[in-house]
Parts: sequence; structure tokens; C-alpha cells
Amino acid sequence: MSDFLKISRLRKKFDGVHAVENLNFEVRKNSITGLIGPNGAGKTTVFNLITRFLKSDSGEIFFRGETLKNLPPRKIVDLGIARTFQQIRLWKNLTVRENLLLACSKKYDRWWDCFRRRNEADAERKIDEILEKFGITNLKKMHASDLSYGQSKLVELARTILTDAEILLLDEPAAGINPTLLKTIEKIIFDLKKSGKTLLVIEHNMPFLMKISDEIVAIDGGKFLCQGAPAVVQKNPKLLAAYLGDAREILKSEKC
Amino acid sequence: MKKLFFLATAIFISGCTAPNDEKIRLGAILPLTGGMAEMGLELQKSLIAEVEFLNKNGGILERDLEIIFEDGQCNPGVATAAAQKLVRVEKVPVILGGLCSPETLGAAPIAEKNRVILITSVSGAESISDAGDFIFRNAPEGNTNGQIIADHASALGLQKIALVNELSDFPLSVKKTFLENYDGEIFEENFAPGTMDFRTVISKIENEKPDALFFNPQQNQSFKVFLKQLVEAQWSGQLFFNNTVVGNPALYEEIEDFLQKNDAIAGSYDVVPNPQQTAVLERFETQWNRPALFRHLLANQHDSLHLILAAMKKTGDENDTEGIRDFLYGVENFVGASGTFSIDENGDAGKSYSLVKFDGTEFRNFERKK
Amino acid sequence: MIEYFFSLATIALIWTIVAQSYNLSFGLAGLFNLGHVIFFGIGAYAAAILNTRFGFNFLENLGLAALISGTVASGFGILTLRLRGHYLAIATLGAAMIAQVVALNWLELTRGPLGIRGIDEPQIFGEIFVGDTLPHFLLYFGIAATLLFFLWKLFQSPWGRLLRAIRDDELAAIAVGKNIFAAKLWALVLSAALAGVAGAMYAHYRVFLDPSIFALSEIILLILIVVIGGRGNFWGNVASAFLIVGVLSELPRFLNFPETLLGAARNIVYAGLLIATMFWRPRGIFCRRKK
Repeated sequence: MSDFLKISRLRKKFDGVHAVENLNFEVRKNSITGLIGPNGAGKTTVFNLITRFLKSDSGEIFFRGETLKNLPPRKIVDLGIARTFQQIRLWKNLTVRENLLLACSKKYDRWWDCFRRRNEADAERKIDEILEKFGITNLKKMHASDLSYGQSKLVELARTILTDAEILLLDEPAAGINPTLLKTIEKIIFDLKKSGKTLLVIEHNMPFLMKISDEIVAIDGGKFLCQGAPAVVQKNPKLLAAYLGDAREILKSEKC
Repeated sequence: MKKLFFLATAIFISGCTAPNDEKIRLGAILPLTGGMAEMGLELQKSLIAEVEFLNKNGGILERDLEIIFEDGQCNPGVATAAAQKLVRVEKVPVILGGLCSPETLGAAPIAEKNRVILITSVSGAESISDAGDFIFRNAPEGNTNGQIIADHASALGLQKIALVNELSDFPLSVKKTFLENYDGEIFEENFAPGTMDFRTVISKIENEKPDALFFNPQQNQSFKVFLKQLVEAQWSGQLFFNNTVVGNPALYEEIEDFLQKNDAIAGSYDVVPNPQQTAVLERFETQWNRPALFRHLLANQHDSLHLILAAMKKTGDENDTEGIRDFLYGVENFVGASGTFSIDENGDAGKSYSLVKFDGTEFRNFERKK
Repeated sequence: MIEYFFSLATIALIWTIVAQSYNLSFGLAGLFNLGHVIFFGIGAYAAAILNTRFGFNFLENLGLAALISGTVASGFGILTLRLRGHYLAIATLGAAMIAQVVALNWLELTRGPLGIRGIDEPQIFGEIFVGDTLPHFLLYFGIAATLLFFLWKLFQSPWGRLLRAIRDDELAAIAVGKNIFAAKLWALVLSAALAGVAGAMYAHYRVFLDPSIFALSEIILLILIVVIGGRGNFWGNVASAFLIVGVLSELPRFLNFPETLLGAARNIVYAGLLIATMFWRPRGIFCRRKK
């Protein structure tokens, strides 16, 4: 199915301001799609609408042909869509291990499971695997409040991956991290694609985004601007105009 | 953390007074803090004055008397804890108190279980009569207060009465019998303890145009506030009150004329002066340099104490609580500061209320209309 | 003398159950519920009425009190759990005050301020357990230990972990697909049911009950215990309940304070402890300071 994730005539208004206005675009299966636009363009709002953290005023979102309308946010995860947040949201009072365990399964989520013999070996294994892959096995027993910014970012990403979602919505995964870590995240993203996942990525780091993306969707003022291959989109005059206030970004992208 | 624990234990143990074989020790549970503290403290002061006097005049069984006071706060949980301490730690054979019925009913099970005499001089709840073998009441049953007002109101030919009740134990038992015995029309309003604004209630009452207003509080504070606002509303009509507003002249300051003009009548204990009562009040005044309040309650309490002492004299042993109990059940025509009374098979002194009328300064005896 | 310790310890055991049940909803799940004392009171009144009017016995009342309190909590939770933070606090505080007014006014059911007396002491298979004796204390200790064990298992469980996550960051919990409403509702219902059991134990111990059980002072005492013990800290709350209810509440009686200061003295002690905790051990006196 070409329209794996389809946004159709999506509308959302906040206090009279159109955060998202008649938005249409598609995300192909097993692609890495970038979502760009100036600050305030409505990118995170789109994520919130897809994950049903916000209810749209009108329009629909289809995942694998099924509408997401009226679903509560937790059901979106069950269907296979998971996200990270612009401001990292880890559970500070829990350890890294506990943060990850919570994403792994719902098998023992009910209170009466406290009497059951539990086998979380599977989950523990998955956690160990991903920690190793990310190179942060040493963080396993640490409290999330003691992690550095970069470490927190990796843990949140790991947690999102552990939900076993098919589509991952990453909100600025490259923000505020050093080049070495950036390389790590790049590799993780490519590995995810290789394993069959689909990614929709919001980013302001254009070189990074252009490098990893198969396609770019650009929006501004909540409205669709253009969609296409990175090389094409970044030359789009409407897009350039929208970014006019941020000349350095445009220059950077031209270097690539 | 450990240090804190040991410190607490040390303080705890040091505070346990070792039974002093020299003195005869009784317990007392009264509200020494909280909304009823004015009454509780007055009863405490009276007991202190009595004990001083007794000890100066030979004590009891040739020993000095000591009373250990515990705060009941008019709360059954607190009173129970107080009783626990008095019974288990201080090991008193007799407890005087409580004042409020919840105190008495809270402490009663502890006293009863441990065969300790509990004698209240104030509590009016009906259920105290079967609270136990060792539980005694030297006071009228609260609900008869309602009956006597109802009877008088009927005798006066009053057709409609506005009844304003505080939501506490005593007023509710008064209300119950008032409703049972008054055959006219009743307009009722209830308020929570601590209410400070009665203006809406008063204006509702005025709309009803009753022949009389029966104000039925528990705390003296409620009376103060209500009356002030009633005066402001320029109320005119027969006023009735229950026993709790009697005996505290400070309450009537600045409203003497108002009360008198409206024929203020209350149900109270027989306050017939007698030499014993006069002596009690004199001793209080000597000790505390001012006249006593709630004289009728003090008279009752004095008699309770002396009943106990008479019992101890008879048994010869202050710890023979069974003997004291038997003595108390056999009391007939005891002449005391509160009048002459006997104790019935329920441990009640069978006292009754009489009507008192405000005479410009205080509430005094008044003949009952049959 | 030993009976005196039993009396303090019995009340402390009852309050430990209440506090720990509150620790489940307030401490662990972060539900800012100021009305928890309602469930304790409902359990106590349920037991009192069922026993004095309908002859239900101690064990039956423990179960029925749990059921009744839990059911009330589920209705309450469905109405209020969508509220956040301060709103939930105010709604629950309001509910607690309503509960007191109902207990005071619904004379046919609760006898209002006259209270309910003559509640039976616990009777099991014909054996009466008289208060403040060793058998009675052991009985209550056994029940408390069982309930506390159950609570401990809940705290340690994946569900407990989920509650801590929800308390920390609800949105993140939703983002990994958790049903936070169900988790919070169960936390409230279970904590209410356990408080109800403690209420029934209280009624059968005190054998007299009146509406003062719903007083604001009881609400504050509960919050104090949980804050001092540390929110979510299981053993901390066990210790703080015993310390505050078992030792400190009656300590002023022994300190030879003038009796007229008892009411104030207790509050001064509590306030002092609270202030000291806020200064030196803000996460509870039994929590090691964070490095």
C-alpha cells in the first residue's frame, strides 16, 4: 500500500489561530520521511494529531487504510505508531531499566499480576540488546534523573523502539547533541529502516535530515508546502521564502 | 533516626508518674481545649478548689486526694486515649467525666472493661444509661430538656415555634424530645458548630412569623453570635433556650434588656440555693478570685465527687471499685449541693430539668406551667 | 501497663494501614486526593451499621467495608480522575467535607452526632477478642501484616512501576501505550478498599463511632504521615505511622505539659516534625538525601 500513513485535509485551530490547515501528505512504508518547516509551522502539532494527543477539528488520518479517528492515544501505540518528544520525557524517578521495561510489554500491567509468577526474561533480553547496540549498557541501573542530555535522548529513543511500533515519529532527534552522538543516532535510524521500520522525523538540522531522508515534507503556517526528494525540496522557492528569516540554514543546506 | 526513637521512649517513660501510695488518685476527663473548653476549664477549676479544701481538712481515708486531669476535647477518640492513660498507666479507680456525651461514650468502654467507675456530671445522651455497670450519670438526661420546653410552650398556647439546632449531640437529643412532645407547628433550621453567620436563618424565620424561637446550641460561642444577629434583626417574640446557655453571665452582656423583653426562658437544672451549693461557690471564689460560672454544673460535679468519697469511706479501700459501684447503686435521697437525689438501676441520678427565666442578670428558677 | 502499649499499638496498626493505602494512591500513583479519610470513615460506619443493625460479624464486615468503600471510590474516581492536580485536590477535599455533613445530618442512618455505640468486639468462630489483650493485638497485627504484605507486593510489582511512571509523567506513559485511567482508577479503588478495612477494624476496636472521624484534622494527619514517611516509600510510611500515631500523638500527655495545652502541644509537635522534615529530609525522613 503506497499510503502507509496518510494525512487527509487535517485541520486544527487553537484560539483562532490555524495550527494546521487543510494538510495533506503521505508517508511511504519503510521510508525515512523528514518533516520540516520554520518554527511554529505546526510540525509537533502534526505529531500530536497523529498520536491523538490532540483531537483534530476536521480531516482524517489513515494508517494502513484504517482511520485513526476517535481512537484514544494509547490505542495508537497498540496499532503500531510511537513517538519521541521535543522535550525529552523520561521518568526521572525510575531507572533506565525501568524506563525501558515499561515500554516492553503490557503483560503484567494489571494489579492482580502482582501475585503471578512473572517471566520478564524476554523483556530483559531485549533491553540488554538495545542498550548494547546503543553503547549505553553501563547506564542500565542509573536513575534517569542522573543522565546527561545525550544519554537521555538515547534512552528515550530506545524506549520508543521497544514499543515495537512499525512507525516511529521522532521529534528533533538531533537537537542539542554532539557530532559523535549524532553519528550514533544516524546509524540507529538507518538500522531501523533496514529492519523494516518506517520513520517520520522532525528536524531543524538540515544536513543531517537531508542525509538520512528518502523524502521530505515541508509545511509552513500549518499548510502544506511541498513534498519530494531532499535535493528537489530544498530548492523549492516557496520553502526558501518560508525560511527567509533563517538564512544560515539555507546556506548550510546549499553546501550539501 | 534511632536517636529520635530512644529519645521519645525516654521521655515517654519519664513522664509516666509512678503510683504514689500516699495519695488517693482519681482521674478526670474534661474538654480543656476546643469549643467547650470554657465549661471544661470551669469544672476543672472547681475540682481543684474542692480538692484543696478536702486536703486541708484531713483528706480522705486519712490521705490526700489528687485528681489527674486529661483533655477529652469533646472528641471520643481523644477521650478514649485519655481513658486508656488514666486506667492503664495511672491506674485510677474512678474517672470523673466526660463533659460532652461523645467523651463519656468514648471513655465508657475502657472504664467498663477495666471495672473502673466512670461518673459524668453533665453528659445527657440517652445511651449512657446502658453504657455499663460501672458507668454512672449524675445529670438529667439531655432529651428531657426538650420535653420541658415543649410542655411549657404547649401550656402557653403557642401555635408555631421556630427551632434552631446546632448539629451536635446535646442539641440533637433535646430536639428529638421537643419534636415528640410539642403539638404545634415547627419550623426547623440546623447549623454546623462554628457557624458565624445566622442572618439567612434569621430572615427565613422572620418570614415564617412564629410565636416563639427556640435556640438550641451546644457551644456558648454559637449563642453569642446568634443573639447578636437576632438583636440586629430586631426580633420580637418569646425566646427559649436549652441548658447550655445558663450560668455564664458574660453571655448576656449588652443583651439583658433584649432577653428580658422577650421573656427568655431556658430548661436547666434545679438551681435552688442551699448551704452546700453556697459553700462550693465560695470555695471557688476564694481559690480563683472571681465568681464561678455554670453553677448548676459545678453543684452536680461536687455531688459526684462526694458520692465517690462517701463510697470509699464505706468500702475503706479506694480500689474496691465493685464496692463503690454497689454503694452508688444503693444511693437514696442523697442531700447534695444540687439538691436531693437517688441513683436508679441504670446508674442515673434521675434528675430533671426545670424552667428558668431571665431576670435581667441571670436565669433563675421559675414555676413550671403544667 | 502492657495493655496501654497494646492500645497505642492497635491504633498505630490501623493508621498504618490507612496511611499505606493512601501512600498507594497519593504517594505511588500521585493522585492528589485530599479526601482519603472518607473511605476510612465509610468503612467504619459501614461496619458499625451492619453490625449494630443487621448483626454482621467482624470478618464479614472487613470484606463488606472493603467492597463498599471500593465501590464508592470507583464512582468517585470515574467522576474526578479526569481532573488534574489542584482541581482533584479541591474536589476530593470538598467530598470529605460533604461526607462529614452527611454523617452529621443523616440521622436515620448514622445517628448523627449521637454516634453509634455498642459495636461488637471482634468475634471469630465464637471466640471474642477483647480489646487491648494479647490475642486481640495479635489478631489485628495479623490482619495488618497481611494487608501490608499485599500492599508491599503491589508496590514492587510492574503495576506499581507503572503507577510511579504515571505519577512522574502521564503523557510519557500514554506514549508507550499504557491505559493510565484504568491504572489510576484501580489505585484509587484498592487504596479505598484497604482504608475501608482499616475503618472496620477501627469501629470494632473503639466500639463507639461518631462523625468526628471525618474531621479535617484526620485528613491533615494522614497527609502528614505520608509526607514525613516519604511519598511512595513503603517502609518509610510504616515507620512514620507508628511514630506519629503510636508515639507522638500521646507523648504530650506524658510530658507533664499543662493539660490545657494538650491540643496545642500535639499540633506543635506535628508542625515541628513537618518543618524539620521539609528542611532536612524533603523526600521523607527515611529517605536518604539524593546525592
